[in-house]
Amino acid sequence: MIPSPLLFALLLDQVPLLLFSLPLIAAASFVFAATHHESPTAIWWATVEWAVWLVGILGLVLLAVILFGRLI
Amino acid sequence: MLSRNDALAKRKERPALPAPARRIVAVSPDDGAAIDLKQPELAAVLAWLVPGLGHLYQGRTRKGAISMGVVMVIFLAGMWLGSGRVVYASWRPDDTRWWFVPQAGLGVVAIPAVIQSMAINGPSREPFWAGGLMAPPLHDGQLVSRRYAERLIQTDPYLEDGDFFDRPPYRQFRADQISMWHHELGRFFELGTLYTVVAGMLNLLLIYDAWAGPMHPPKDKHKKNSDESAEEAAEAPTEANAESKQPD
Repeated sequence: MIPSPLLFALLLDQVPLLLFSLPLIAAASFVFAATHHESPTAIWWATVEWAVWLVGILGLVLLAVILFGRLI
Repeated sequence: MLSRNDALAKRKERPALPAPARRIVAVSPDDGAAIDLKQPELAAVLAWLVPGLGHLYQGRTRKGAISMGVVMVIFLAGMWLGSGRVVYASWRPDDTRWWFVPQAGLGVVAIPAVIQSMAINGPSREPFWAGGLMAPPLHDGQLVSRRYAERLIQTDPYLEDGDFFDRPPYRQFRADQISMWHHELGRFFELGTLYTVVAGMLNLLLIYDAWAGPMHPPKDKHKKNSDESAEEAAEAPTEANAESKQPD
């Protein structure tokens, strides 16, 4: 079992966009939330929800790309 | 008792009430409160010029301030990653900068870049702002003013005097500056471009929000649909009811 920091460092070395994508995901989550809500509390929770969705979807895509890269 | 004609005559005598001021409002999806959009078109233009400015104009202060901070931080981070060279407008056939289209979602970016591009291709042959920020890269054979050539030679470590031919009253560039930028910045050129593009695209959503108010989340639609179906189910006679209503 690879420890999480090591796995993160490995991914960072292999896929530098991983680090650089995090601020973009955070910003996109906020803007998506802000365009669907008006109250600050609702915007905050929707930002968290959008971030989880985006990280999940993009993480799966990244995983698929890495797996396909290993297979080919 | 007044006759109909008297009543009509009396109504005509009454002074006409002023028409109520037209207010355009949106409804908050969270608590149903009205959001005064003031002049939505003006708010949209302001939101395009500077992210969040449209919201500030509408009095949606906190949302506007945070939106401005988020989008501008992403944009400035992109400019920093790309050393200020990733935003420029160029429509030459061999260097059409399509990335400028989404970047132009930020008016504060689009306007200076267009001005720089027009100036460097105009009769002066130098960018409007002498520093060259947001000016398109020089290409092989391009004529530039002597002043701009000298400035580039002094400030850009990749350029030297031999990169410019003497073509009085101008100087002619004889290299490809975009290749130099890619060589100098490596992957950071692409990263800076990505950040500025995302900032511009996110601002398009904020412009829509300033113009039309918040979009209703999909769950409202689902809730409405489920409410409607529940009402239909309540109204529609079930088989059991129908059977029970049948006469014996």
